[in-house]
Amino acid sequence: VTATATAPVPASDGPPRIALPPAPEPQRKQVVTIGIVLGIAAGVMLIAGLIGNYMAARDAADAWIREDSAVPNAAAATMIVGLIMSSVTMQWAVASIGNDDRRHLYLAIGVTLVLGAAYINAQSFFWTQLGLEMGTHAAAGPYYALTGTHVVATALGMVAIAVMGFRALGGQFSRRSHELVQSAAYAWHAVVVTGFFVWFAVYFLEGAPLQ
Amino acid sequence: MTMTETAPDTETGPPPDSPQSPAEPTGLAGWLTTGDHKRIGRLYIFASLIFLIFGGIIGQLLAGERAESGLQIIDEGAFEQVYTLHGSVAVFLFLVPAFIGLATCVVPLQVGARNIAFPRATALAFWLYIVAGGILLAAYAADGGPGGADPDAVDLWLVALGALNASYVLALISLVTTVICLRAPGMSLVRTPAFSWSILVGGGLTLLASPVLIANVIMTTVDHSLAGGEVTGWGPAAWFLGLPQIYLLVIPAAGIAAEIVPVVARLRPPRHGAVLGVLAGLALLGFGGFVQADDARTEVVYVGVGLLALLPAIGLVALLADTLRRGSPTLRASLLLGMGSVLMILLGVLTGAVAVIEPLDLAGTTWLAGHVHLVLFGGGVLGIFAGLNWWAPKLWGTTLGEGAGFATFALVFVGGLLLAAPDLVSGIAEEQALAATDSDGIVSAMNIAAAVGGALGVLGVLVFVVDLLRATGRRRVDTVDDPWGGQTLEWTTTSPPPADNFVGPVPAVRSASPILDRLEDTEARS
Repeated sequence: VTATATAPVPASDGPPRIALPPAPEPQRKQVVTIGIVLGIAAGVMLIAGLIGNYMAARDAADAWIREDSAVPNAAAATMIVGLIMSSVTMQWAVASIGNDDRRHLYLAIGVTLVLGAAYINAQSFFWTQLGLEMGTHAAAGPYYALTGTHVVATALGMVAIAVMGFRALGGQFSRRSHELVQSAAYAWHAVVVTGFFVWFAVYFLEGAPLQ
Repeated sequence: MTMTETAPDTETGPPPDSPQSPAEPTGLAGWLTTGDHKRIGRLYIFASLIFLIFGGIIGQLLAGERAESGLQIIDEGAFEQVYTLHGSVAVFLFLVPAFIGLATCVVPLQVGARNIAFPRATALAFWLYIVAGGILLAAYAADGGPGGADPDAVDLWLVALGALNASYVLALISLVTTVICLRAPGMSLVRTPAFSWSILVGGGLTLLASPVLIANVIMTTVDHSLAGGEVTGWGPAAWFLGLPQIYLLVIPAAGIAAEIVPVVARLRPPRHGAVLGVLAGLALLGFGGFVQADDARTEVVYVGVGLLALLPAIGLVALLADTLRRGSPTLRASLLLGMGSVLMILLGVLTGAVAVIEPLDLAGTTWLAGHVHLVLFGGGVLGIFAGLNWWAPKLWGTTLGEGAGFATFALVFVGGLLLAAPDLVSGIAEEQALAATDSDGIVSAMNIAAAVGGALGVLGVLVFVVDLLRATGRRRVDTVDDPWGGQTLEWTTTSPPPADNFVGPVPAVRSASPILDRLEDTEARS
């Protein structure tokens, strides 16, 4: 504790005391976390709204968008498994900084970014493989709106994780102070969970068995 | 050896002589770059009032058009655009931003925080609102909006709508986080002031509803720009401007009234928890994200919500009336504006409950226009004016004129009733369709009456704005810190508050009325 003011304060009994100003108001914890959680809630509602629109359009359409298309189920399953794995690696990053283990933090962030990029790559590959043109199918617009929005969310999550990585390289974060890394991890987990539901609605609910 | 004397249990925060926040730039640069929640809130309020006047003028243009059968003023192709322009401006550019602005100013003060949780995000939200609002108006000017002839301008309208809702999300994240995380020590959620609580529940649920609208906007934009789909009616925003979503938009108005009544009645809120409960109930029932498809309006959930919303609305009016009955209220403009607001909301909820009764076949009729005007114009505008009148000492260091407040109440309340009632009559008696331009018999007479009501309402708005400009133009502090005998923390600081909100420590909180606690302690000691 550092003394910053030393005005003697007469006491009614006993020797004069040295009164220090009250400690600065402690920084409230969890502010960033709560803000991120609220943002996640909004993001989940965004994806939920898009899934609802997609399901309604698909329900109204006569044919499923993937009929006669060349998107293998195995590839779609691999895509989502890779995305789920990125949630594990992101949590690995949080655990690493919790142990002040920066080497593993960098490694975990790097792997997470690679898995995120793989997801975006797979999704864009499906766009080309489907060959679904706008206006040819009632669910085409909602399909691109849903999957496109989720790819944008994934890219934003990757930017957030990369920023955390650069800030860690700059010496920020420690075992005691890594709320931002934890918050970025929450956001990434939300991207993964919503990605699972996108995959389930778009690529799994077709009804065909996995190849 | 050093010795630390901790702050007394009853108070927290830096002492009076603690360093203040770094000085912000002055002049225009200060306003453009500010991170002070009070300044950002005032910017929101100023901008939204300009949009209110604009929306009112557009509304009068429509009313003038409807006064005679057929189209005399507006081109046939433009009527739908002017119709949606009025609603877009009134809701997206005035009502929601005005409540956000007032909350941005007041909520941190009420909960005892030295700033809002994310000041830069709040500033970004404000500027996004301004830019998106400008784009929305530009889209209409370029023949866009629903039913517009220029496809690019229609896309522009959709982009603006999405950006506006993104700005709400950003601003509400900051506000809700402030209420959750930055409350003064001792201020449990149950002790949260009614207005801050209304922002927590109303804003929190709007935070969940706006992204659904953004999802609709994304889907509509993709469909319109890439597949040639049409955007008609209200497009993706239809459900956001209908039952039950509009109840959610006026929850802060109810919170403002609940804030004013016990103070004016000079009474500790007798049932603070119950007031918070009915506010939360109305907010929960006001979440309209599920009303997407047309057939959703015949679902039992929709009908049930429309009917159930009566319970919290009646409960709120009853609780506030009971508080007034128990106390010894002073007749103030803010009281009339606040109670007028909740009465209008109650009437709106009542007409909404009638609207969901399917055999009456009121869907698509002017009954809904009357219902919306009761809730959003009557409830919303009176609520905002009540809040601005009440917190003017904290916003601008001045008090607004009581005479002007009474006149505003009379004009907006009577005007709102006269604006809504004729549409209700036309809707239930003649099943007059919404946005119809042809009229005869009773509908013509009702349209003229509605035009008169609208004119009174606009006049009331102008009276309030002129009084506000007069009061704030004095550029000197002419009020005391607590002119009303307030009970919540914002009245413990100066009028207007300093840069970091409180001079000295923030008082600790033991109840929903910390100032009354302090007075009782003082009396007990003496």
